[in-house]
Amino acid sequence: MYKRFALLFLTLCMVMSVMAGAVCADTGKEAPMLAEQVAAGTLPPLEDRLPVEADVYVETEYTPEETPSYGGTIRTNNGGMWYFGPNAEEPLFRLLDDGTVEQNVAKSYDLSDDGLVYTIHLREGMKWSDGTPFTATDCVYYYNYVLVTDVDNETGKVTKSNAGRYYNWYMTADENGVMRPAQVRYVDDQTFTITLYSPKPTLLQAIAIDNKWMFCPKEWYKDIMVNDASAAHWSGESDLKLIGGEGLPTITEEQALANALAKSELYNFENAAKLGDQLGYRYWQYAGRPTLRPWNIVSPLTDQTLVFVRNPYYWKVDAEGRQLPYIDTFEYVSMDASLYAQEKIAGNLDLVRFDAADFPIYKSSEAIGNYTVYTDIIPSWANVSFEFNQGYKDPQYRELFANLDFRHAVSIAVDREEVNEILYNGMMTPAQFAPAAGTAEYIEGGPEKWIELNVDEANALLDGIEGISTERNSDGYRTFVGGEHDGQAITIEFETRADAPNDAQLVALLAKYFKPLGLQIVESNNTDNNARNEKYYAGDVYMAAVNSSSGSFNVMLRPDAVAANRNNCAFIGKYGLEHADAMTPEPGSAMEEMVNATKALISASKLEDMQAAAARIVKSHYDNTWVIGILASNKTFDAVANRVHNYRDGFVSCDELRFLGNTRPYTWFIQD
Amino acid sequence: MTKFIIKKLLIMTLTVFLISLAVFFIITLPPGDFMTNYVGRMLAAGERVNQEEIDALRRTYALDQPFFVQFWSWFSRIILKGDFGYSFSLSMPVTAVIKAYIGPTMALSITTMIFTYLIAIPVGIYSAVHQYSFGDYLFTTVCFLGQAVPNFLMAILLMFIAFRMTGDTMLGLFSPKYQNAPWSWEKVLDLLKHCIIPVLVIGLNNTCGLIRTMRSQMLDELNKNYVMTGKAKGMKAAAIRYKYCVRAAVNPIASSIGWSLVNIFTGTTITAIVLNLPSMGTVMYNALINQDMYLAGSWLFLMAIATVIGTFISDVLLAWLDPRARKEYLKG
Repeated sequence: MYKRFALLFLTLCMVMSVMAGAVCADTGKEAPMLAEQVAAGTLPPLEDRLPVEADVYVETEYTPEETPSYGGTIRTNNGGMWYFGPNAEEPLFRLLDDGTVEQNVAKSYDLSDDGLVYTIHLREGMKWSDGTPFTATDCVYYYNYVLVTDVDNETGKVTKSNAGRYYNWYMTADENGVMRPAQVRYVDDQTFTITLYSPKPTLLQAIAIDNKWMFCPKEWYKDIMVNDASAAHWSGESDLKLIGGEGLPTITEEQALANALAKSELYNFENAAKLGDQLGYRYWQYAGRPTLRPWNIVSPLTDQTLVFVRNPYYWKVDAEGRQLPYIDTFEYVSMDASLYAQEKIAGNLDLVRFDAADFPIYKSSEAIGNYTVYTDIIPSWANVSFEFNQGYKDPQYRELFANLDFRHAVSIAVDREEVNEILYNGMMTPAQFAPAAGTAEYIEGGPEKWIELNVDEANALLDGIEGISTERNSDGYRTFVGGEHDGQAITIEFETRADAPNDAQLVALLAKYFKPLGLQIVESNNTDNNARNEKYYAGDVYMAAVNSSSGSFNVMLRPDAVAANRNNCAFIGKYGLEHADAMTPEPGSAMEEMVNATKALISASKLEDMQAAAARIVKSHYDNTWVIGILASNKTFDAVANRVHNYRDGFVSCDELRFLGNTRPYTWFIQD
Repeated sequence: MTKFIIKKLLIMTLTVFLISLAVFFIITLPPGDFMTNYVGRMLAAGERVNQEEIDALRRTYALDQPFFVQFWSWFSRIILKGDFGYSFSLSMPVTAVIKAYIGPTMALSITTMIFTYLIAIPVGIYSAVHQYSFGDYLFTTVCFLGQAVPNFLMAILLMFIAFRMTGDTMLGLFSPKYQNAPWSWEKVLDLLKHCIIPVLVIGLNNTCGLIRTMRSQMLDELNKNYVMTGKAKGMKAAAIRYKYCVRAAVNPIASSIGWSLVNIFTGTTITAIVLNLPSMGTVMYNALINQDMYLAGSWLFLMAIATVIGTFISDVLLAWLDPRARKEYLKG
């Protein structure tokens, strides 16, 4: 009897262990929450959800060394759409730290010998998060119907589209020098082409940086995108030829809005432009919109906690063939920034990002809060700086600001150590505005130029400048000699923001440092960024700014913040090429070189020309100290709960590399 | 009484219109507009934008129109269609924003209000009846402390105490664990736990003021001649107190109920921020910061309506409670 029981027991044990093993074997490659749905018949099996085996994206470099476990929730603060968006972003091509790109959504690409035609290959069997196939149609549709809805045939100019500003990355000069948009055409479900008018060697980087998601779910989107059949499309080609598959329905604005609302009450937009902008471009904020991301939002945007849940059709696996991501859910909690530290220490947030000023509180509470502080690298040129508007409307001040000796003098009059101690707990390093050592664009001596405090030399330099007095007036200030301001004290107004307290403190310190030079400093306090930006757009109404420029990750790929193209760069002022009435620099001036180098960079069609133009821009900064750097840190910090594994210390955090997204959060996992 | 109510209603309508004009003017006062802010954030996020696009966006949002045109388009849509316009920053109708936040805000405010009156009126009566007793001194001390300590500071102190005692600061309305969990008994308990600090903080300040008012009013009434007359006629002390004194003493509190209506809709903004409560107050604060003018405008408009309706309710309540006031009104 006992024997039979024992035998039965052993048999049962064996059967159960085999079944358990079978279950493990099945579920080991995907998250238990998905395995449950597969078992319940509500979700297709894993192999039907992933691309075909040869086309699956295998994440080898970032696969954790420990055996990861599936599941869990990461809870962090809601820093807005540009905080939670990049964490789960999936671009066509991904930009790497060294400025090159690697394939991501795209499987590979070929470039024609003349450098004009890019053929992009996609992954067969890849699916949107709702299970519908992702094909070349989705890319071609996005480019031709969402990114650009109308283009003037004669000028190539975009006439109607909110997203049109991204279009300029696809513009190249034709044989007459007219900038024309690329043609994007369907070849087959896994292939499309991008045809340029002249070669653009950094096209893939431009796509990776500025048009990361050049695709959208056509089938889901076609009913809510305004498509006016009567409006002639720029190429005159039929829908069928453009995008492959079926033609597009005619949709009026009213129909588009009604169709969107019928999909979800969350899609309640005022007009079609807003609808296109929100569901086409900023789509990751809207529950129900299919994506290719590892996690998708499931809550309305008004919720205090935004919840992002794993995408069952995510198309990446780790080196062991386990479907990514490991973590089930991300929660982003809205709260006032003053509460981050206490919530982190209380263990209610798994991740908080902070800067040097908050370092002491987070670092000292690591043990209580059971977390680790990680250091990230920011590729900035300076964190604390000031600059003068080279395009200021008043000619006498403009001439003074354009004088290199003037900028040299004010740079060496600043006590950088003191600023560091008073404003940043000594956490930063005195530095000039220049690429940091170790970066590709570093110029030897750049960060150290003109940072030694020497008030006597500064005064001697100012004494040598024509048009300003060597004597001081009764208040102790130098005055202008001649011109409209003859006899008036030199008074420089610095723009500050009320919502950035360090701005005002820095200006107070500058006033103290410049008083011995005979320069009067006043503060122009703006209520916030808006008020200050308003002046920047005007271009010539502000004199000087503090903490405005921070540098560039890579000048060739992202010249905007340091070159003369934008209309909101503080030192450039109205010399910015994007100003409606941009100023022309004086022939032979240093600013002319900056403007010419910027033009050369924008219009270059060879990599070496682009590199040369970028180097000219960096050199112009080195020679002219357009922006006067005070301190640099090149660091930001993350307090990460110890239960979060496979986080990376020392990653490069910047917009181009998508901040936290550069750590590839889909490879993080939680182990309590 | 009907004539009085009609007259009041007419004045109310005019007041609401004038207030809405004033609030719309005030929210457009700061330099720049929503587009400046929006573009600023786009640039901070590394997006590109030029002046032509900014101008096009301004046209899209009618921000290039004169003040009165903008105001009238907003105000007429509210009156004629019940449409409060669109929130620029949230890209959704203002009504959807209000719908999302009104529930938690009202639940919190009404709980707090009930807490306030349930505590304040009996304690006020007790303090007056037992003037200069130990209990009276105790409540007086607590009241002065409650009134003197700012709400947000009290919130921080209580959070600190909660953190030391439980290891959690009790921020928000739910623990992370229950935030998105389906409703269960545990979740209700968790909610109640998280309500302790907000109700105490928001309630205490009002309660303390009300206790003092109730106490002094009660003391006034207790020393009046009709009390002595009642006693002489052999009425029970309790009957005099509760049937006559309390009814008379509660008048100022009744007239202040109207004002509480505003709080019900807004929640207490600073306390809500400190305690991270999902209240309309915090939404309003962000709308003002972002110059999200239709959201902010609608908000202030609702507050104005709440204030006006509150005043109306107070007037009617007072007329109903106090025959003397009623007589005055009818005369007027």
